[in-house]
Amino acid sequence: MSIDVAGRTGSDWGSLVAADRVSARVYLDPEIYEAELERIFYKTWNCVGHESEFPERGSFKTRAVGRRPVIVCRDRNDQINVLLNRCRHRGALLCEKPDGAVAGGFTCPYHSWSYALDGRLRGIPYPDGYPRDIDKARLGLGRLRVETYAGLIFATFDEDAEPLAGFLGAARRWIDLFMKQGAGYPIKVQGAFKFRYQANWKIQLENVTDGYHFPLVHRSWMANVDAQTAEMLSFMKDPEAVTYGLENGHSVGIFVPEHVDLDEDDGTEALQDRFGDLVADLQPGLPPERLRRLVRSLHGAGFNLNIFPNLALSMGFIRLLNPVAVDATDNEHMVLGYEGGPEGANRERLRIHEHFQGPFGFGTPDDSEVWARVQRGAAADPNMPILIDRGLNREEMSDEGHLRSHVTDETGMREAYQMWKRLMTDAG
Amino acid sequence: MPAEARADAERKLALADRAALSAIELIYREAGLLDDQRYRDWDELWAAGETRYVVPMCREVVDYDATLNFINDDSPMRRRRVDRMTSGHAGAVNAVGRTVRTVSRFAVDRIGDYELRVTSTEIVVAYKQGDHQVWAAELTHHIVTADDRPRIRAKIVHLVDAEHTVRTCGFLL
Ligand code: FES
Ligand SMILES: [Fe+2]
Repeated sequence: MSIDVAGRTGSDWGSLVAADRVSARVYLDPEIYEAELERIFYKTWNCVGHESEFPERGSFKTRAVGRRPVIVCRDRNDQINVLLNRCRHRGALLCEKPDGAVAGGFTCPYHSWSYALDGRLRGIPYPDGYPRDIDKARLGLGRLRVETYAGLIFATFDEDAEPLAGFLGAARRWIDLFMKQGAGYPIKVQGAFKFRYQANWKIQLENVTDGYHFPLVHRSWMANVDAQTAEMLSFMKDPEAVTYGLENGHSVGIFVPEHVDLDEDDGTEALQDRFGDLVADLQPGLPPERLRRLVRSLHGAGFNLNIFPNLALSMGFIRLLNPVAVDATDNEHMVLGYEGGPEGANRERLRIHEHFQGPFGFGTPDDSEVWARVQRGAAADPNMPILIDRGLNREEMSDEGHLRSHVTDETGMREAYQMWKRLMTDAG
Repeated sequence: MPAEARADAERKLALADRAALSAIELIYREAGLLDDQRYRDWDELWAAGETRYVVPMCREVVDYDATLNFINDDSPMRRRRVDRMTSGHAGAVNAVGRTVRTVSRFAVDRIGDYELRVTSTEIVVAYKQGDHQVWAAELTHHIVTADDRPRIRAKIVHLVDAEHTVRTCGFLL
């Protein structure tokens, strides 16, 4: 199959994607990046956080969807709002703090127009310069449409986007499974690493279900953890470690088959020795089954779920990506914990996260290094295709009608690029 | 925290003090070893027993174990970090080009018979693949002086941009 990469005009990006390969231009071309913002990020549902990040009325975080800065906040009626972080008067950025809590809302630093937590314009100083009957209702902040699923907050700029439930489709079942890592406690975000790497966003998207690189790129981590943890993540030849293409670009890669559904426990799995102190601490207060359920959940769910285009639910954490340029992407890795759960268990999760994730972790820096290497290497010949055909020889249809292959295969990437193609062609 | 520690320290030990000088000398030596990526030798600068090497994500933290940190190493974890960084199998470490760092603005405070607290600034310029990055931090070292040789008991690295988006890092601060 050949890919037509010559003389591209804005409307036929779709020809850059074939079933088994994509043109390297999808990583490299600034014009494609601009089109992706318009046709993907400003059109579909983007995840902008988790409800636990906004515990009180007035809690807020600033994030961005593409180049558009937004404020995510909880208002006086306990509703989550996603507001464009831009004053309606002459455009100043309203809020620059990464997070915090405000009593009433946001006041512009320039001429002090003030807005409520739901974006309504509340006040204009020295209003004599405006007609007495100025319609404040029409001067509220830009608002994104918001829907939530299982505590995850999604927003879209497109009033006509399909309902979130339909967009998530078959991925909902996997989100439900992911949330079982709360082990009976509500899930809370305990903190987040925020880092930028010099590569196109799709390179990281591909990586979420890329089991192939794991023992290679993460060799120094595998050698560094205890034998039981290394064994838990030795899936290269495990036939139960499979990946599914879901629909709408979503996919899931199973790395720890015995932890897919944390409610299922045949009792044969030994609790890891590394948690021995915690077990000893908690034993007096927790019934044995609950203790076992909790300890088995400390590494999170046994899979990585990719929700196109910007969310991944990865074992014990939530990751958000945001494309800031064709060759630069911001990531947040939000570590989860147990709201109201044992402090010791929450600390174990923090330490697990610090060990692998983040700018100084034993895994993330090596990932971002190879992603940047792809960005620079692919530029050697933009017309030479990126191959995403691994596993086509063993891919099959599951009973639920989803393509399945081994977790080291590229089924998830094929799924994502078919969605990319759909959004980049007609819909836009 | 570093600002208060510095204010405290300014009231205490003169830099010409012998103990202060030897602590500062240790911090200079540490900077050189880190720039040269001599992580095993760097590990030797640390005190035996309980130590702490932290790069926190915000300035107000009192209990590092209760929060997420960029780095929160006790002695065994620091040794594992050194193992990784010297393994030859960590892509980000292998790809580090060169770093040069300056430590300065020392202020020294005596916090025990055999322990000094030294605050300073650290500016690192890291060069890799045509790209210069600047890292800036305030450092707090706890230096024990019981032996003939001063050693590091604790080191806290407050990045100026700790609460914001940073690059991933293949060297140590
Ligand atoms: S720009 Fe915001 S009040 Fe004028
Ligand atoms: Fe990875």
